[in-house]
Amino acid sequence: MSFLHLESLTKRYGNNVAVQDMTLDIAQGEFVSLLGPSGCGKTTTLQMIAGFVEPSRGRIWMNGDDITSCKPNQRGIGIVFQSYALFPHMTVAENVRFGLEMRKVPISESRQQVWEALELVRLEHLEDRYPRELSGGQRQRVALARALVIRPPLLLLDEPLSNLDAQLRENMQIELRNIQQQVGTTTLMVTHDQSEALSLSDRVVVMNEGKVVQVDEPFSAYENPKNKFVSSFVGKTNLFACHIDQQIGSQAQVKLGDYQLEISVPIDIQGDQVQLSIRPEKLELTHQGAGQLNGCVRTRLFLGNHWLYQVDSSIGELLITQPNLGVQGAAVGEDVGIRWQEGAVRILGEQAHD
Amino acid sequence: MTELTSSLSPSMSRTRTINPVPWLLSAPGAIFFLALLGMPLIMTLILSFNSFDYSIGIVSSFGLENYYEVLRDSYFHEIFLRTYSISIAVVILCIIIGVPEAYILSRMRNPWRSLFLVVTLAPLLISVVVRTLGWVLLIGGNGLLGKFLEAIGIAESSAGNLMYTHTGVILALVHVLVPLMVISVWAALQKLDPAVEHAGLSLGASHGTVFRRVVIPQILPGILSGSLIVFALSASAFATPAIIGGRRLKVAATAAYDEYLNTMNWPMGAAIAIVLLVANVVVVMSYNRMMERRFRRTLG
Repeated sequence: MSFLHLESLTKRYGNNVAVQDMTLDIAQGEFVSLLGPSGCGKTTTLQMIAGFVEPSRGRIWMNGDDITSCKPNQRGIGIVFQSYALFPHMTVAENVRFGLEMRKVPISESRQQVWEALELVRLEHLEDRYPRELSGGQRQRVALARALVIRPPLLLLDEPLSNLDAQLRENMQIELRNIQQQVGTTTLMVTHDQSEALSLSDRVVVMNEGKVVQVDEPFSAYENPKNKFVSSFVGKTNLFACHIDQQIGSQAQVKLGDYQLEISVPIDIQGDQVQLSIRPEKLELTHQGAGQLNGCVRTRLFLGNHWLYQVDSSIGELLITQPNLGVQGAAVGEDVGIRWQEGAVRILGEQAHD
Repeated sequence: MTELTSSLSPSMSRTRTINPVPWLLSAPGAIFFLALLGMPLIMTLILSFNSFDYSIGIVSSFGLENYYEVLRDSYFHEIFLRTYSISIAVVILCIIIGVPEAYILSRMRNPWRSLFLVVTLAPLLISVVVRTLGWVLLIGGNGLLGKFLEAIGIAESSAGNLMYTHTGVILALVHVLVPLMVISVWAALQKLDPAVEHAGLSLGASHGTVFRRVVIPQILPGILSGSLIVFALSASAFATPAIIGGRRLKVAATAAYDEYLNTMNWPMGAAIAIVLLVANVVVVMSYNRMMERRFRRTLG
């Protein structure tokens, strides 16, 4: 029995469908991310679960109870808002205590619980500050403590890290993951940042145009994207439109420029117009003639731990990343060979249902 | 800091001259302001030190006897007390009506919100005198209110006559000034993060509790500055008390007017005006100071 169950949840605004037939099961203690570009319906889904938006159709079950028509203040769900939504006129401790006060927890107990929550996010020394006097990361942690102190059955995170700078965001990712595992609260996060979704979640729900496109563990979603949308939204990729020349069973012959490729075709792909997807990190630069393809380096970006290359090849432009192993890489204008391992190329349906 | 560095650098300090352009550019406005507001005010101040004789008229002398009289005479005490008690009542009523009104307006969806905002603010486009005369039609001796009370049989028609009463003046002033409270609270509500209310709800608070504990404290600066505007304007209001309060229910502004135009005791009228001005400035400034101290840390 799943802990949170969404049953063909739909939200329409006039003729616009924000979320269509969303069905999803989340197990107790699981960390699930809704990942998609802006306007894909992920925030609307979150708001329906929180109770701020009324679904046009469908039901929401939490812990075996139908909460579809429950008021937001009776659901007991902990929410961390994108803007943090701290109460600016209350101190950190008062902010965290608010939920306990609403539950009429006696002051002696609530003091202990507020302290524990602030300890969890390592802010116990700032309990008398006002939100205005805190940094972005600290505000974020107060918001998390405030949501967790009421011991919610479900924690909703609405783009929790999008207002933080890159370095802080990485630290918070690790911290958020640790706290979630420590507390064990079932968590649903909404994000448009694929690296955030991949690094934090047990499962990723990729959404596009109001529909669920793929539900998978982060590694599988990255390695076996179901279609063009997932492969280009989750991570970077090189995509090529191809024609299947010959197919015997699940093995197909595909022509990629001058290069003839043999590839296994998943069953759900129909027609002979397909897309080939190769991740930039699965391509390797080598001497000209040593790889499957030849090309010429057009641009090169040094990114510290790796280089990002743009290489012109006979099949078109390729993005290639090379790890920095302490040796200078190929220079701009250099002729190179491009090599990849068998099985690094994925085949995707051309008109994938998304 | 910039001044410090500029005075330290030798080349700057030697060539430092006053740039005339900003002064010249602001001169027309400044002169206009001084001529039309500053001068009459100074002349009123000088006038208030003169004395008045019923047979000769204004005697240009310098004395504080007008102020003695205003501050000592129980007749004036009563007028000032009335002025400020009416103002306080108007402020309280404007808060009670204006704050929920602004909040409800801000929660409306768009075609209705714009429509009702215009309806709320439209009275500001109509002259205060016209609006007050409208109230006379309603609450006057033979007004609609009296006729209505008589028709439904709960009171005689004279009960609907609120002319020359505190209630009548307060009613009309609230009507005139409530849009200003709405504007002020509205501005504060625009700065409110809507997610904060959702946060309150998600933590288990009812809508009422969210309004009381989360919304009100954040829009308090707006309520307080609205109160200031309403207080200052009702304490110095002239048209509404003059029409509805008349001679029987004098406030400071109408008392000053009567001194000028009926008694012809201009120095006394000037003294009343100055006392009213000083009292208003003191109230407004101390109130402002109190507010700033209270909100500097929390709301910036």
